[in-house]
Amino acid sequence: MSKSKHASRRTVLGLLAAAPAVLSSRVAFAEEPIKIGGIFPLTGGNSVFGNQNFQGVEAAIDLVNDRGGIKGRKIQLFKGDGNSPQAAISETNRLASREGVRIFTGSSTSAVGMVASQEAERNGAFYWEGMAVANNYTERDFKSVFRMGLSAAGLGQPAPLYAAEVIAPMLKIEPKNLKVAVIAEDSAFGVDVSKAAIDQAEKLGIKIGLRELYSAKSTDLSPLVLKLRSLDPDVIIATQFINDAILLQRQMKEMNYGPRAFVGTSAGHSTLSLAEAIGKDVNGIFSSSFPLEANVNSLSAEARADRDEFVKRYEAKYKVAPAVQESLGFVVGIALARDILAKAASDNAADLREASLKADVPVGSYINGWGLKFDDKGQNQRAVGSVIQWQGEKMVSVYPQANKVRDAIMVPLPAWNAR
Amino acid sequence: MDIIVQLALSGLFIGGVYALISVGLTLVFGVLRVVNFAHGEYLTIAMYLTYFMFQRVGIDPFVASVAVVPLMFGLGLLTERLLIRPTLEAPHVVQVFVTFALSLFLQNLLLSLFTSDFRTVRTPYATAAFQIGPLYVSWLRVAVFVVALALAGGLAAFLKYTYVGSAIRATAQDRRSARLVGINVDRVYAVTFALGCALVGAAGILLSPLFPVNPYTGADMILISFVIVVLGGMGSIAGAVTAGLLIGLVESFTGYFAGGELKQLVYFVLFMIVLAVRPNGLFGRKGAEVMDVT
Repeated sequence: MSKSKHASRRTVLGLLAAAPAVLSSRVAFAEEPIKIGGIFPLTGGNSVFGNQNFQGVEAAIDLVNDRGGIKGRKIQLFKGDGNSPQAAISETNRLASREGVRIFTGSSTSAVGMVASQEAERNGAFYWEGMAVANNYTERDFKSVFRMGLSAAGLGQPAPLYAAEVIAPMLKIEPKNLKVAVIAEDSAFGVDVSKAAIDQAEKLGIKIGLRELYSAKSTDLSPLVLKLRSLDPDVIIATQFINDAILLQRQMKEMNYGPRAFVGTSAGHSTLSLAEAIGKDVNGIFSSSFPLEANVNSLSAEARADRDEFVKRYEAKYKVAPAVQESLGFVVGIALARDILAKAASDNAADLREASLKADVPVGSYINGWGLKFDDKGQNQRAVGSVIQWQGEKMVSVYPQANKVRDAIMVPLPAWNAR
Repeated sequence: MDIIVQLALSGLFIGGVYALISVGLTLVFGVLRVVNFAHGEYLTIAMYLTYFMFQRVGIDPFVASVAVVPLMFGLGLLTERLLIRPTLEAPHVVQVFVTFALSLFLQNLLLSLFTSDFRTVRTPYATAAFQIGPLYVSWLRVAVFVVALALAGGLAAFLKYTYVGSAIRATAQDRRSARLVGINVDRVYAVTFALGCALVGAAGILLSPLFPVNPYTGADMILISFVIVVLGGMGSIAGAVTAGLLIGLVESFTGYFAGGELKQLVYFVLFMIVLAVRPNGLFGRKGAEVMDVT
């Protein structure tokens, strides 16, 4: 019942939204608009991320359109609500068959991205992935599926690297003597990312004292806190969604327990909801994540201009500053438009594939510091993870050098009442 | 030993919350024989009401209950009148569809009103705790536990010792005979359904300082309530409380000794064993049709 209600409302809204674009393009341009379908979880449990990502992509497309479009053609962005893998399949097919969309982007979660990209490939369309991190995403021998964003490995690796390079010296401990506990929610996201963190830690000679998985829907994490307390690690590396990230911090505080450093890996630790929920207790927490921002000196002039424009527009529209997921959406949208669509011979999948494989955009070309260079499997080699820290209840970028805007503070973590 | 006690406390505290969510559900089932799939959404609504009263007006959640519980009771009366009463005589599958549709409707309504962002009631006492030897005990969780048990006890007493309570029990046992002796069965149904909503509303208020809310919070929490209601015996208040505490303890101990990912596995195995031995649940009677308030 709700689905059909939704679909009809979306259709009406879609038509209303599209009407001016279509009308103006008929007057001003001889050609049809370029249609892009965005497949994101816009409702349901992961919709926080889906909407943030979509808003970023939308801001990028609006900016490109306002600057004249691609070779004189406007881009028309369609919404597909992939609130579950099943919905992602039907939304991808709906946009492909009913709207004639042949270019897709997405997808906020791996569960959605894996199936949406498969459907796109089956429809002979092009899929530009920004957020799904599953390691096997690019192992499927698809022709026209490219991942601009990080793999789980790329997302998890900066956490132990940062622990070894920066946290250990601040704690005056040899990296190989660091005691690290890895905790993660038990979906593919938590499992893949935490495994990447562990693999990287072991490469650095760091021993993992505890690896603990739990359900993100848990209502009580005090057993986990007790385990952590008895192990007493120097660093906790945690892969969590929002609910469970909030719950863990609160229960650690209730039980008056804290590690010497806490490093999350994106998701729950790189979202404003965390600060809203726990206030100043958030200060000092690190998160290895998609980059929030880049050091201005490391950016090209074009990227700097993009950044100013994006932040200005985003704040005007949503009354908050864009954070990690919004910036990521923007980067994914702007790269697709400016460095793939604008460079491709046509907007069919084969030409877009060609343009993607040829793309050689230097690091520092996008607002988050990334560039573009795909390997033969379609994974961007110029996407790097970074580390942010919560300082004064705001996220600031602290690692790597190209993204660093401030030094880390609060290592070791002070007592709860001193954060 | 300290750890065992700490785990037991954690388990009991969260179990008390589970019990309170489940009591309303089992009450409605026991009397109306309707499984209310929208029960979780009433929890969500109460959490949102509490959140907005806290955020906009600055009213503490515990004080807000004075307004939120009656509001939830009223919402229950309205729902019963508009959706439940017209379908009571219809086949069970119709009631399932109606409450399930209501659940989806409310989720999407909340989504379009409040978006999917998580919202948190941030009270100064949310993480305050006291220490007994090596044990840390959260004031809030103790308070939630005590209030939850008091409410469940109050409900049992209400059903046992008041005229309305007797009428509810009589209707649960045999609606036709109840009507014959002059009980207004329609009104009993309305009051019972509204009482169920008020109880889950109270649970929502108690939960809001502990957990953030978004439109799916209730749906996530309610699955465990269905397990508890069946485990305790459908329609049994004492069963819901016992099963709620039991599941809380099982979660807590398996979370520590076996790992958090095995929590659900363990309690579902327990669930299956109990049902294999006692098909009507721990406190249920044959046919699960008798309201048991002992």
